[in-house]
Amino acid sequence: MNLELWRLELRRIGWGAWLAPLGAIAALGALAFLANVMGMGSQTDSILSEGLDALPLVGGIAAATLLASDPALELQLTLPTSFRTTALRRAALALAWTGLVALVYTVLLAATQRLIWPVSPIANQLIWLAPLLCFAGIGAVFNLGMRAAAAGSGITGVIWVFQLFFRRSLSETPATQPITLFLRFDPTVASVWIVNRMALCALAILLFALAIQWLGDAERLLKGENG
Amino acid sequence: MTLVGVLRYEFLMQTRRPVVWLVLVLVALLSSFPFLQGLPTELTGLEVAAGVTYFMNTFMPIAFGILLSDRLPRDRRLNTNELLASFPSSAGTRLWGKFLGAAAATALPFSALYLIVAGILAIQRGDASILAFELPLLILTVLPGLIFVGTFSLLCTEMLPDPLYAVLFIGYWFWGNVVSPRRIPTPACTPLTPIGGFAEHGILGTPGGLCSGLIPPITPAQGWLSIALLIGVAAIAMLAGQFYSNWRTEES
Repeated sequence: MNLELWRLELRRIGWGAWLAPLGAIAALGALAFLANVMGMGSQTDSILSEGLDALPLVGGIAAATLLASDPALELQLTLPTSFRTTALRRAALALAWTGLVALVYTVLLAATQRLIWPVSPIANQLIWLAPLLCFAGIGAVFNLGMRAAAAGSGITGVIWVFQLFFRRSLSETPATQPITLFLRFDPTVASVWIVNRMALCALAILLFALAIQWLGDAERLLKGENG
Repeated sequence: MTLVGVLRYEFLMQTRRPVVWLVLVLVALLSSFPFLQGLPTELTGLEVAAGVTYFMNTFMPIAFGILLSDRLPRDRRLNTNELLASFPSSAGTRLWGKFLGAAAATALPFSALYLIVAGILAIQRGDASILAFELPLLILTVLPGLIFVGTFSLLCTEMLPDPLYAVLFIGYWFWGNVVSPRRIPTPACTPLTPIGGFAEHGILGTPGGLCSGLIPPITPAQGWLSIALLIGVAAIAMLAGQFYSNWRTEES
């Protein structure tokens, strides 16, 4: 029965959530190829590695949108399975799919020595996992908190661009270092990176806890979208 | 007359959405991060105003685009399309009204926030010229980009799910406007770049920028061409959207 519900949600998460992570990798692959053709071969590995910065945005927005909306919400709230469980199941599927794509992509990059910030085969997965969970959490909190999908997507997108744009400055400032989403691994101060990844995972747990709390509030959910 | 009615309704609807104001204020606060770290005292009023425009324009249009991208999906979700189709106005007129009304309502707090940040810096530095320079920067470099971004944000969600459009738009904005062409092949540093560098450097003559050293100095004519291209491409896209909306209504 439970497996049937998972299968049902698998079909419901939409073609956009399936295609987006693959599309992001394909787009960066095409840009890396173009860079090679244009005589910017030295940038190829950097462009390919930055795919790991793009995937958290893709998965985060997909998961946050699935978590916070349902066209038949009133019906969902009458079912024996709580809407919270259904929404989390959908978000988990979207995150698992993006995670699977990212995992395979990271292994391929590391195996071909194209990953420009390698850590170790296991720790490499934290490059994308910590920001992915954070973006999903940020998106979910803003979606549910402001009761508008546009708020979740907009704020998530701005934070993604902000973190990439000010990456160096955020990485070098002690106060912002633990919450720098795209901190690069430096073997001379390895502990900084590990602490950063742990802090990001803890932040994601806090954000999800808040989102889960709001998902259980039927009255809040029934108020619908804010405009 | 029908267009004015739709425009007025869409304007009021978007203005009364708390999320529009909340998201824009949050993004403006985030965009002010470089100013919190302090600015060099030797900068002129024009350079400070250009700095405000550059940093805010790196992030604020993302919020602007996303806040417009849910207008058409909302009509579909609430099943109001069928009701609106029974009105005498054509689908194309409603599309133009929706764009003009919602874009104007979002651009209002958007522009006010630019001027507030410039005003705060003008008071801090005791230099009123910062605010005086901010107004032409807003009109010449920011607004044409908003028309471009707003048009595609409204039209693309006619065919794409809005979360997918959000991902594509945010990715495009970063890649096509913010990343240097030295690092990656990108359409940045062309007249069709909505972040407005061509108009800013060409018409107002501000120094530096992402394209500095990559392309020859931008002339005022190239600045005006960039504005015309951004608005022209947006107008063509809107006309195509108008014909598509009318055609689809006739087919259904």
